[in-house]
Amino acid sequence: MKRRMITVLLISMILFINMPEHIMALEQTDLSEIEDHIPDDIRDKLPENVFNNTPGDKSSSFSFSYFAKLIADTFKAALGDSSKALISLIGMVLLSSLFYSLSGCAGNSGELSRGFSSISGLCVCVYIFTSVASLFDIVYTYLNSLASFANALTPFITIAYAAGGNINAASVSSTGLLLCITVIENMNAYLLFPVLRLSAVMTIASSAAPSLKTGVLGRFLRGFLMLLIGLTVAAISAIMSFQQTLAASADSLTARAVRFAASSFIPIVGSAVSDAIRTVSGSISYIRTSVGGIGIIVIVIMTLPLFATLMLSRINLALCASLSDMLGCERECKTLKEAGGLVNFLIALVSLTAVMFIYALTLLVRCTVSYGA
Amino acid sequence: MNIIRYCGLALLSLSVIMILSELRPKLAKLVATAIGVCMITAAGTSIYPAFKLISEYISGTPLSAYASTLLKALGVALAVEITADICRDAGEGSLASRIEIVGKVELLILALPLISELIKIARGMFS
Amino acid sequence: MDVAFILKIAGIGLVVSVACQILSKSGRDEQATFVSIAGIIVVLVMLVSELKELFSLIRSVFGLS
Repeated sequence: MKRRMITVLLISMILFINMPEHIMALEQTDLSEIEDHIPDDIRDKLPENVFNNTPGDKSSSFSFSYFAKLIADTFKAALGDSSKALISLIGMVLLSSLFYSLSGCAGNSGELSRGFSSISGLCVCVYIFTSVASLFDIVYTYLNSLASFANALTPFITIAYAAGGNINAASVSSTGLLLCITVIENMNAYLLFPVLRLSAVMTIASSAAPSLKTGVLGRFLRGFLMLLIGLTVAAISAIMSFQQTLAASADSLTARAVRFAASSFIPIVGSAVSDAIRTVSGSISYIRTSVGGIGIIVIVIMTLPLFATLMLSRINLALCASLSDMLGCERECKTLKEAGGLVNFLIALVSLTAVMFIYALTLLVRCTVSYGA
Repeated sequence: MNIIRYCGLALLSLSVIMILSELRPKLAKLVATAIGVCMITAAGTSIYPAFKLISEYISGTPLSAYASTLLKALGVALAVEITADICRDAGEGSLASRIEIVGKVELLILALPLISELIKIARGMFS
Repeated sequence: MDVAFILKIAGIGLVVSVACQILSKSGRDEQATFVSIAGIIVVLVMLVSELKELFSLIRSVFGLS
């Protein structure tokens, strides 16, 4: 009995000595340091009172009207470019159909009209894939910047966890996040984009010269990549959430033991210490929510313009595919549909990675402070 | 341009040609060819303003390079078709095939810049 | 213009063939041959001039060099 009391006292002393260090670490890294890691153009779009440290103003800055305005502005900005592209595409399809009908009645020997149709198909192919290739580069830079932002945010997340006493959760989440980021970066550089570009080149080849039937291979590559990415993201999210829950409950168990020891075995001031800890835990959970909230908003602001551009170009391509189908140009229709499939894949990729990071940040926000009430 | 007038002309020339083919078959072929060429010229003259309008609309946009290629290809196809038909009507099937080969070569030459552009895009994707 | 051209060609063809028939029936075969050759040459010349116009039209409309 006595030995047990001594061990409990020793453990509680050690934990108490460590705890102020966690809180001091959080105070030293002020929230404004996060501000430095955010890219410039995104910083302008954040709501005003986000970096204030007073609790009252912040809740108004994350309002519904802010998000609605953000979404509306992004789509309006992307709409200008994409409507120009849409008009050019429609013009190209109309031209092709006009010339098809003229060349069809030119004569009875089909050879020359076949030659003409292959030229027209080539024209449309070149035009479409120039724009799709530029989208690839944009998505590549986006994924890199997302990974670097998450890299910069990880120390803050770890500190936010540790300050709340969730030490196990801190270590688990930092490893989880780093795994996540490493997977994304490596996949991006070595697997994803080379294979994706290979599949894109095959699609281009098959639509430029329909006798080369590489289109099926390109589609298979895309489907396979999609499966791979989906499984990876699902696995990472599941592992992170399981580890998180287990670590948080282990931490809360430890913290409860410490609090019980404090209130029972430390004379006179034990209960006061326990109440003080409860106050601290309230402010720490507020800080956690802010860090998580800022991170989520920054990721959303980074993703929205790209997402809007991709969605609008997808809609453009689908519209022109159906238009060319109506006008009778089958080759252009096939080319447009294949390009639409490529853009589909890009949309899925962008959404999946953004959701994965947002999920990691949500885990931070939802994790209860271990020594809270 | 009055379409009914041209239909009437075509029927009239058909009857003349049938009469001539009884008497002088070779002359009938020539007359048929000349009348056909004349009618196509009439069609082309009336479509000329429409094409001018279209190319004016397109000249400012990024489509203009592609539109001019398409237009040239259409011109090559039409010219070669007409010539090959004339040759075939005159009974020279092999001459018609030769001119068609020349037309295909011309279309290939027109397509070459497009193919090189596509290869450039594909290569740019891999760099 | 085009109507006149077509009617001209048709008329020439008819006239030449009728003349050839008459001449050959009345026994002047060489003159029949000459008239038919002359008719063919005239129609050919008109054809060539029309073809020239057609091809210059194609050139200008489609922008071929």
